[in-house]
Amino acid sequence: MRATTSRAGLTLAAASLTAAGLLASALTPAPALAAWISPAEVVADVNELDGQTVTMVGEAIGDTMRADQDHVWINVLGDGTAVGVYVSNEDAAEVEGLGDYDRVGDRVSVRGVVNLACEQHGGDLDIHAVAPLEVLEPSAPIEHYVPVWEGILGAALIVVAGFLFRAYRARRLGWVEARRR
Amino acid sequence: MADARDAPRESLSQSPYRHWLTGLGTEVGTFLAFGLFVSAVAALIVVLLQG
Amino acid sequence: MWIRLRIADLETIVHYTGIFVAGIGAVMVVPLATAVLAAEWAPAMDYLLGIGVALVVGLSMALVRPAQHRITHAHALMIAAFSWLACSLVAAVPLAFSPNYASYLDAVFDALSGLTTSGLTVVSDLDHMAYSHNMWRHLTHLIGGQGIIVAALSLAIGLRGGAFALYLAEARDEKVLPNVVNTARFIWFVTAVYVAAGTAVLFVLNLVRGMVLSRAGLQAFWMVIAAYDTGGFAPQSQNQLYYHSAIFEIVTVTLMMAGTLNFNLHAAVWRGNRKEIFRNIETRTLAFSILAISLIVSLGLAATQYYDAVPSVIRKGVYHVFSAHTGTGHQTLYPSQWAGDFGQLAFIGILLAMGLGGGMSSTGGGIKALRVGLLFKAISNNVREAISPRSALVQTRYHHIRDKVLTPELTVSVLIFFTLFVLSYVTGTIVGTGYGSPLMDAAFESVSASANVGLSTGITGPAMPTGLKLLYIVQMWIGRLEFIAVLALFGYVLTALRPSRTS
Repeated sequence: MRATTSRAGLTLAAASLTAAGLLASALTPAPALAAWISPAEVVADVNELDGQTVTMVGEAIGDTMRADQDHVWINVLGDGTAVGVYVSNEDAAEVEGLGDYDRVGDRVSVRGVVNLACEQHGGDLDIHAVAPLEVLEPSAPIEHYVPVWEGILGAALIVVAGFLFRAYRARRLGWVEARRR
Repeated sequence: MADARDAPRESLSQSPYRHWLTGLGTEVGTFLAFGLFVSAVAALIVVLLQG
Repeated sequence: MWIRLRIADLETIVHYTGIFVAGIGAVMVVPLATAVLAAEWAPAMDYLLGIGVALVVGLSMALVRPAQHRITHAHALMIAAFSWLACSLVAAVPLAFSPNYASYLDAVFDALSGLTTSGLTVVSDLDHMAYSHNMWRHLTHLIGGQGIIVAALSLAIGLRGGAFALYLAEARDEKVLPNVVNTARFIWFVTAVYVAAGTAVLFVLNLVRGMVLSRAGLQAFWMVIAAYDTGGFAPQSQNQLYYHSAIFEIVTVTLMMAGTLNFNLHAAVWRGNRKEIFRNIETRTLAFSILAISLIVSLGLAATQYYDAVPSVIRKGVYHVFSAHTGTGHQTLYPSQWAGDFGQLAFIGILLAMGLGGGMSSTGGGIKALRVGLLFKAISNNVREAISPRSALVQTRYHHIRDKVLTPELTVSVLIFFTLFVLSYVTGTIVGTGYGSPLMDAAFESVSASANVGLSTGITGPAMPTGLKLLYIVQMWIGRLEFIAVLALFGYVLTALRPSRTS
């Protein structure tokens, strides 16, 4: 399944090279075709994509990290794989929510050049953005179910452990006494 | 044991905490220098190969 | 001949294993505190339960009366083998409740990988993991790396007599200081200095790069203990690549080297004997081996299509040689890239680096530099014997803290360990290939597990077959304890099962 979608993504990515107008349609909320690829597909098909301009959509995660020449790094996650995006400060301005335990990060669309081994960045596999990052869906908090029973059981066990510890200490004294005799 | 004679026994009783800062400096300096050296050799090989 | 295990022996083993298990419960207070501070209430529940389970199980075991005599060498081996397994099973409890692990087995895999400072991981959606779970994952590197038993020793908890036997059983070759408790304390002192210094440097770097305060500090601490303990975990799914920073890589590589250095060497240098670092057989072997393998990898990469530029050769080639040779396993490549674009020659170089491994009495894994150095000394000794007159007495000396003579017994021991490690590497490769992985990938993963490195070609993951998970668990366990303790355990179990002969 992944192979077919990525091939579709590939052809479209190639087509988008020639037709700049495709960009606009690719970024509309409900495109007729999957006009973008996920970070996992970028890594899986990197040999074919190397040097090409693609549109990658995924979740911005973690941190914005300052890079060289007024650029930053934003890592974008999709299908379990994250890819670093090298983007200028102003092009990254729209991205605010970064994914972590408490929230899903901004769902961003990145248009940029794929590098299998980026010469500027020591051979890293990365994407150099050529257009401003666009936020398709803003970041949202994640609700976590809190398993209170675990805490209650844990607390009960800790109380039991307290008694065990007292018993252990008493016994140990006995053992030491026995050894002395 | 054969090597008990030439072993500096007193060094074992010396505190390893006494020169810890210079020790740390020596180690970090050595590591950095070694890393740089290996990188330089690797770079040289690549340049020579391609040159 | 095997000595039969008596009930009294078993009681001793259970008693001491229990103490270590309870200790794991006590350390879980750190992730619990992290959870509370970060307002992560779900993981807080996980750690309350984890602490409860660990303490109850551990203390119940500790209530078993230990033998009245001293701990024998055989006891120590059993305790070491059991403790590492028991501690992993208990350390996995809170992880198993996190949504990042599909099963308890997966959690055990990561707990054992962490405790053995391997770094292979079957976690999923790591980028959304709770800070408290990440804290615990990385702390397992610190607990396991500095040694569960060393940790206990440094607190001097009731291990009257036999403490040294335990220390040896944990695959640490010699005492650093005349007294074992002092040795353990010194190990913790070196660790504290390096971890504090490293964390400070990376914290500043992270802040300068614009990270928020809490994330900058936590990630600095985690990456530092993962590098210094030659572990290999990272808080983000891209591992070290996430940071996209050459400075970050330089700092962590320095820590990796510090972590793979024998604690006896740290002690010698910190006593003021600075020359030791250049004279020691182990550092010389490591330096030569890293240089030679870096050359192999550079030659390999220079011939590839993608990594032939000088910066790539250094940051993808030399960096990974250090990461592999020290037994760390931090990586800046995607797992799928190893087998393809990295080139076969460079791939073999990394494989070799992982197999040879780091220093004795360190957190590094693999065959270890001292043995490799001694092996070459033994070979040269043999050659010299062959060309000398029969009456000549050929003697080979080597320098490790002091000048020592290479004895036949030492040569045999070195050869045995060398053979055991190679056997483990090969067995794992065969089994991995049997599960359908390509030969090279299977070899890479097998060596990585056995040598406690943690680099991965992508075989290791939540979706891999249960059999492979068990294989790598056993390899990591057996490799960390350097076979003898685990093999002795098997031996005892087998003799216990065999019907006793009535004579």
